[in-house]
Amino acid sequence: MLHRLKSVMAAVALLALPGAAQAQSASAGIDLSSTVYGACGLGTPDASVLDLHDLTGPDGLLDPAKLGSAVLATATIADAWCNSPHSLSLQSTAMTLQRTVPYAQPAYMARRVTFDAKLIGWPFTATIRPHNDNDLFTIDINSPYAAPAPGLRLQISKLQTLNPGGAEQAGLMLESGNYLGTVTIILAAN
Amino acid sequence: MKKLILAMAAATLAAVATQAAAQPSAQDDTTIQIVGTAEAFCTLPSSWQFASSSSNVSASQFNGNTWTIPAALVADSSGNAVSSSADVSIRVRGQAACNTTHIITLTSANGGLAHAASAGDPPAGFTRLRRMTYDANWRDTSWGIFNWIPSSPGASISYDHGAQVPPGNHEFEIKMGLLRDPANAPMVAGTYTDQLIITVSVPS
Repeated sequence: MLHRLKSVMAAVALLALPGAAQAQSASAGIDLSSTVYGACGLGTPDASVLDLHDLTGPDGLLDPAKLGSAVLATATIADAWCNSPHSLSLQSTAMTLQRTVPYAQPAYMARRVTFDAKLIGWPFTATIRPHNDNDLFTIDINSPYAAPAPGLRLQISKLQTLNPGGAEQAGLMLESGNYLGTVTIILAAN
Repeated sequence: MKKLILAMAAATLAAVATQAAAQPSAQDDTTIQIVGTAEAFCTLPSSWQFASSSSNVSASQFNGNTWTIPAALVADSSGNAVSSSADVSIRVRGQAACNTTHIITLTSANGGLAHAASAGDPPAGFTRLRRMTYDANWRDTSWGIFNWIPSSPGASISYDHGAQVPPGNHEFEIKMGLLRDPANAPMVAGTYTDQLIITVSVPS
């Protein structure tokens, strides 16, 4: 955008010079005005799918190695910026069994898994731990910001099973199948 | 002056065009998927514990994975098969698990309590087999096999759990019973055995 603005200014200057030469006793002023709107940009993540592979241990419960704070997977977004005060939001859905099951969820089994989705590389570290569909976390930031290298990093850790009521409960056996959760990162200029 | 007006108009148009082209979306977002798998699995007890029995059977007769049936319950001292409707059975159980639909299969190696040594050349005029009845089920449920009486060596039977709720962590039980039908001939002396093989498989 800056490059284009420079081009316009050069054109105005070239066009204005002959006029100034003809009117020796006159002066003219030209006001130029433009606006840079508030905007945010997010590059493409280096991984759009974070595969945690088999979630379970030999007993069918969550693999103990996936319960702790160790980072299980990371996605990096190299180009993230906002040129004005803005909000950062994380919208997330818990990992959910992807097959249709023809019976009610028993109390001793789990079809959903929550996780910590931690976003680092911004002025504030943001973490969301979804228990439902489209849980939302938003924080306002009162200045422009561009993530320094390596960029924004979304880290997944601390898995835990959810009971039929949506509460975290350890010791639930996962129903077999594929699980899918999502994290949407939203940068919005205020 | 006209040229100046034209120039200003050009500048104005250029500025408007620049604003329109440079206005990016005020918001940007990206979505990352988190995926994983829970493998289908079932387990059976690594060891079995005595649970209950008929009055003529005791816990001490079950050791490891073997139930040793007292000889007197099978044949009398004259070698004749004991004929009785009195129950001779034992129930054992252990911790198992399954997170999906599954198939339980029972296989009887000898098709009952059989005199294995005479399997290839059974002597005429003797009885060399006592029938057995077997249960294999998830404890306190109807999920499994009940009252199965194998009729030949290698016989098997299966139970398909279908689309029912998985048992999760649950005890699994085996009940073995000796059927003491009337026999028309004395029993061949020797060791009588059967091997019951329990398999819980997950459909591929």
